[in-house]
Amino acid sequence: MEGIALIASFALTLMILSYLLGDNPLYRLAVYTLIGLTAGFITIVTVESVLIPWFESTVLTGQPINIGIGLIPVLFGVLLLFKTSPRLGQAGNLALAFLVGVGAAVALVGIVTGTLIPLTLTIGDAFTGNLLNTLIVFIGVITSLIYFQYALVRKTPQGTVERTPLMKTLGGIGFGFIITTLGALYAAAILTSLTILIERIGFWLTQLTGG
Amino acid sequence: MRRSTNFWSILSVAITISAGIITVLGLLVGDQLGLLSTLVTGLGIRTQATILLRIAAITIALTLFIGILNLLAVHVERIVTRRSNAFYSVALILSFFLVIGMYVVQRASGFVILQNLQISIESALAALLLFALVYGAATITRRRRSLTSIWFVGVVLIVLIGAIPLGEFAVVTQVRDWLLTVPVNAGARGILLGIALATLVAGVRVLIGLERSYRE
Amino acid sequence: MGNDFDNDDLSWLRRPNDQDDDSNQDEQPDLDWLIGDQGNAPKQRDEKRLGVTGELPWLRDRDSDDQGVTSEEDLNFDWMSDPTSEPKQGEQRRLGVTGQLNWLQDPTEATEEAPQVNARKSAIEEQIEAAERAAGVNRNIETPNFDDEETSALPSWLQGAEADPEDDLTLDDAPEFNFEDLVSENPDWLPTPTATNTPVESFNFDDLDVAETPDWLRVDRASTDDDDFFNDLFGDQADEVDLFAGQSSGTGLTGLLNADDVLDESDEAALAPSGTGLTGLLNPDASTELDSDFDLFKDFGDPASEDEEPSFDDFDWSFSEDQLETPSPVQPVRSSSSMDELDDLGWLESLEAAPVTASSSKTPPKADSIDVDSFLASLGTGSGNEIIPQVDFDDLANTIDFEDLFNDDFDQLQSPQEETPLPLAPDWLANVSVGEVSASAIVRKQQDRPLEDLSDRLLALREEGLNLNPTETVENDLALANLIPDLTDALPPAPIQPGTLSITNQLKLTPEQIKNAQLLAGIASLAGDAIGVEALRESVAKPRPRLRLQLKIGRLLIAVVVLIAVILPFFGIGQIGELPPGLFPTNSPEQRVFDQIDRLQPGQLVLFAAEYGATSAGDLNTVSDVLLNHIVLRGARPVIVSTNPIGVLLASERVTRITGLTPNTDYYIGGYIAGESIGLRDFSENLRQLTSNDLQGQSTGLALNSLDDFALIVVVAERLESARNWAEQIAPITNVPITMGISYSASPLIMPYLNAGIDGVIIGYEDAFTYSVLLEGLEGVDRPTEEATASETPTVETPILATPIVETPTLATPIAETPTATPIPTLASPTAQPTTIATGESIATATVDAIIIIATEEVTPTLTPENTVIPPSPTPIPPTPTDAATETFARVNASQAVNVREGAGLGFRPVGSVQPGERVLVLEANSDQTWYRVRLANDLEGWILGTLLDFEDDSTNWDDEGQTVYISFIRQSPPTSTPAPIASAPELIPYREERWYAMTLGISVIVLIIAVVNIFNLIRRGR
Repeated sequence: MEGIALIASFALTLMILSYLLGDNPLYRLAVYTLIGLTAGFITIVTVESVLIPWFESTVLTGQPINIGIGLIPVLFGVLLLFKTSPRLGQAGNLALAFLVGVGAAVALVGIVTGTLIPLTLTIGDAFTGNLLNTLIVFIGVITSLIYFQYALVRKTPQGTVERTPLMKTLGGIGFGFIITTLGALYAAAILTSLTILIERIGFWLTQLTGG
Repeated sequence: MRRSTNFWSILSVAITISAGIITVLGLLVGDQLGLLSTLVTGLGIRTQATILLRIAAITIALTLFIGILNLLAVHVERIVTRRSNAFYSVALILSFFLVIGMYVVQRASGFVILQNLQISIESALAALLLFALVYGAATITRRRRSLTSIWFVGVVLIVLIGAIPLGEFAVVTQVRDWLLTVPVNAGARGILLGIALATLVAGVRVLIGLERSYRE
Repeated sequence: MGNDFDNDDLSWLRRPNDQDDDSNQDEQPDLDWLIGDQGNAPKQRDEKRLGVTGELPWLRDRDSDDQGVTSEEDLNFDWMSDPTSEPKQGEQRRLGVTGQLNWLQDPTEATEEAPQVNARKSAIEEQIEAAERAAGVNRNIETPNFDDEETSALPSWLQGAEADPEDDLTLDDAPEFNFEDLVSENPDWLPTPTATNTPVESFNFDDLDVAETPDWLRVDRASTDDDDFFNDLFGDQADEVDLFAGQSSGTGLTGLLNADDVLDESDEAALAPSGTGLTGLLNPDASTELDSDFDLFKDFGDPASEDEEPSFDDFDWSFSEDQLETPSPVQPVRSSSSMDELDDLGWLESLEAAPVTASSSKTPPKADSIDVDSFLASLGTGSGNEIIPQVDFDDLANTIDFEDLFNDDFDQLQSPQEETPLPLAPDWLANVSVGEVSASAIVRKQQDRPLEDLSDRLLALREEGLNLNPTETVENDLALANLIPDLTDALPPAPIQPGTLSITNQLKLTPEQIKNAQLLAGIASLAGDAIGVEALRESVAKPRPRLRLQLKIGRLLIAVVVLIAVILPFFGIGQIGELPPGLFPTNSPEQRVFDQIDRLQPGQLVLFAAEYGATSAGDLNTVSDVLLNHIVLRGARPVIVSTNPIGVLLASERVTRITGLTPNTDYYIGGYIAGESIGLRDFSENLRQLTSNDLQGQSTGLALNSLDDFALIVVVAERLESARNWAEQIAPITNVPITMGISYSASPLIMPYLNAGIDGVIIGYEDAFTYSVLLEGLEGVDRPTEEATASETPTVETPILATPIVETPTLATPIAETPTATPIPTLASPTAQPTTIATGESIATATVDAIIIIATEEVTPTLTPENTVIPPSPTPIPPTPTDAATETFARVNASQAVNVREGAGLGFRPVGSVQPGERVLVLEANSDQTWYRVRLANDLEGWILGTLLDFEDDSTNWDDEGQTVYISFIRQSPPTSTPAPIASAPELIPYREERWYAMTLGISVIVLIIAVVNIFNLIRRGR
């Protein structure tokens, strides 16, 4: 079992890497296999860990109110299926409306309490005593927000819409900070993928050499 | 073109607003808000919010499950109708049931499949991503030569070099640390705050009924 | 109605054929529909229909008995009737709605009509000729042959006035048409009305008798008025008119088209608006009595009574001023100034004087001066001389056979084959109106807006247009010039160059598409020169190869180089750089993570979130390993959850690698949290319900009330979104510290959350490396045993298995400072004596392969009503040295935890419990071997029912294969107080150094590639 799995692992890796030579059936086969595997694992975990306990604690209790509450998600799921029908699609909007309402509320609460307030209050906390760094961070945050903000515009005599020179300058500075962040993200993505590749090589060597 | 207002539309908006407001009140309002706290507690809004969260989470899980069933149905149809890519659909179906079967028969074997097959394929895809990222960074100035691209490549190089402990060339590491701590931190905060503000606006719009794109 | 309709082939719609001029010389436009042919069926002569809208054969006078009388003095509308027909006395004049301008016909053409008709026609023709001769106009009036398919495009009503194609004519040669010429007080072509200024009575359409030739359509052939009418019209005064020669000096109708010879003084006088007569028709400025009288057609459809006689007043002949001023799309319609000249129809009077050369024997009578007013007045007087006969509209409505009307053989209709310029503004343009303004007037009045009013866009367009260089002018485009006389310059039309469709050259067809294209080509059977077909066929004929490798040389080269760079260090080659430091910087985020976990107490619960999938498993499995091992090493119990279904599996797989742990005792697989942020919030609100069962649905025994029941929250995340969800949904509502282990890719965006909800973070493999080094020197945790005595042991009442919620017992010293604490025993009991296991100790025939961590305390609530949770005995029971060779082991065979009792019987008090599948050492049995005294892992001894044990036959049932198995807690030596060291840390991360060197070399190569190629590009482009 382990041996077969190891051989399969190696073969599938090569099939994926064959994409370097171009799109080919082997690559597609490996991708489709991945999709099937992922779907299988998701199904197992979802059914075993979420759905069965839910129905056991609601529908299977036999109590009417529990049954009612337990069937509400089923109803919403069926309504969402109606979205595929042009005639009954509006019924699916009910389930979607519910999810959107709850999701928006959760996002709203989390954003305010978990991001907006904490991040704003802790801009300079990391640089206590280092005024320059604090100032740079502060300027970077403000100018980055200005860069994304398009409300501060004016209309030129020619009728076009553009920013004021001050906002343009500040937005340019913010753009510089954002480019720096994006560059760091790009490099971090390279590091992550390199780590993953190396781990796979180490895994194969471990399996081949028995540790 | 003006959308026709009908019963379903009104009901959808009403559900959104009511569910959203109940959830917000139930999650935000604590015990120290005086009258509002009393009202929320007295009306059982917190309990209702809890129930709504539960129902929403289960609905999402059920939708995920339905989506997977739909995926299987699509590919089974491809096989039955013998379309051109039916061979790939066969592989998908087989791998799906392989996981199910192995997990049911022997749970440990499921982990074997996970470790050897799933992780191997996804790690290989990550390796492909690595090659593409390197290629992209190497050719960025060929496609677009500007101060922005040069600065972008410079930051990439500094962060990469700083990831290597260079010993006597620790200045590069220090530069990289400063870069990550100050400018990158500032830009990241700006991005996160921007996302937060946009999410806040969108959430408020949904809760007051201005945003109704989900009715499409 | 006669049979004309059936026989009529609508040849009147055909255009005359220029080429058949000679052959059509004798053919004349047939105006039978306007005249009574006295029962003569319409013949093929009908082809020469004139009139813009064509013939209304059902309106023809076929067998009319009425004698439309037209006196010589009557205004004779014979000009609208068949010129070849003989007007007869009493024969009612036909009045077509649209009128047929026979005066434009060649009067010299003879037809094969009935003698009377022919006579009339010849009379008219003679009049025309006479008028033309008088005007000195020579023209070859060609009668179009509508039957002929090759007839020219000249409308029939223009026939006779068409220029000889061989003539080198230009638009300037076209005679100037003066609408005003149409109107005259005494147009020659109009018969003299019997009564002067007699208001024209309403036209009585009721008189229309479709069963027979309507009276008003009949020509009083007996009357010579018709003849006179036409004679007046086209008689002596008729001049030969050369439409385009501009030489016509005649004042006949043909003089209409002669710009040079339209009016003379007499004409002008005649054309002076008098308010009456036909003058008023075309001069709406003039107040005419007739203006209000010409309302007949306004009331069309509302037939007048039978008694009412239709009068000319009933016709709405009024033209708007704009219509008058509308420039003809074709010259010679002139501007309004010249239009004024046209008002004077005095030239019509000259028709009288024009000698008429009759081709027939009949000479049209000399036309007297025509008094329009009198003519009009005579209409409807019932004198029999009405030009416009009485029409019974009721009759018309009742007797008209619309089926016959539409039985015309439209197949015989022929479209004009040649676009010819119109000497006049086409009626369609004049008739088309927008409200009260005709389209022609709108076009004529259209003026350019001032430049100042134009927007920038239009100005730019205008400038572009001015800069365009037309390659051809309107002068070369005769049709356009005829259409819009004033136009002198125009842009050439966009050249349309049919050729091979570019799209076919760029198509990349799949095999299926190729097949479909071949099928289409076969079905369509396109010609070889069809546009695009050849190209398509070529592409179809050469199918692309099914499999085509798209080599990306750049990426391939980079992949090869990088792969070599990362593989070599595993073989000891290229191991450059230094290893990561063995310590984290003081007070760094990484150190805080370590410190947080290191401060954990045994038994504490740690919420461990594995928020990563299979993609990042290679990166974050290492991080998970070090963190989990540290947690377990500290004696804490991780509760593993994840919003990623794969992540919970990965984490459970990682934790099961740690040997010696009991599920739902030493660790808990909390399960999958569905719904991302919604699920996390739900998790925080419904914590108890969601942690009561593990991933397989087994009861965990946890009874958590809030997140504060955890000692620490550790999140291992691969993406920003996952980490942000925890920072937003969990961090604000709990005081529990949150630490994170994240990948490189998420680190830049997670760092702002540091100190804003997150207490510490370790990033990627480098920090995992350092962490593993730190773990190497870490001493093992002491897991204290239970301290509570029996008297202090609280009794836990467990509910019946109805809901997954378990009642939590109250403990003496709960971990969490809540009244309903978890049923986990307390820690740090002063009397607790830790029992430790030293790794590496060989135990019997066991082989230790991994970390051994033994949980010494265990009390988990069971779900049986009889079971109570009792902390184990505070006094550790020293292990009894036994002979390993005679040791008997057994495994608990039950579906749930089993009580361990004080004595061999159910009546004895339980002293502990053992989990299903747990291996115990059997010490002794009771007399009947129904109960067995066993020793548990925590050295607790007690009695277990024999039926719940599966004895192992082989006492030394170790896995001889050397695999990591559950190692017995049996120790060969007395327990020591030394903590168990961690198992070999390098085993935590296989090939730890090699991987790091591989990273170093790989990064170096990547940096080199990026730097060199970019510098090369910059230098190359800089040149």
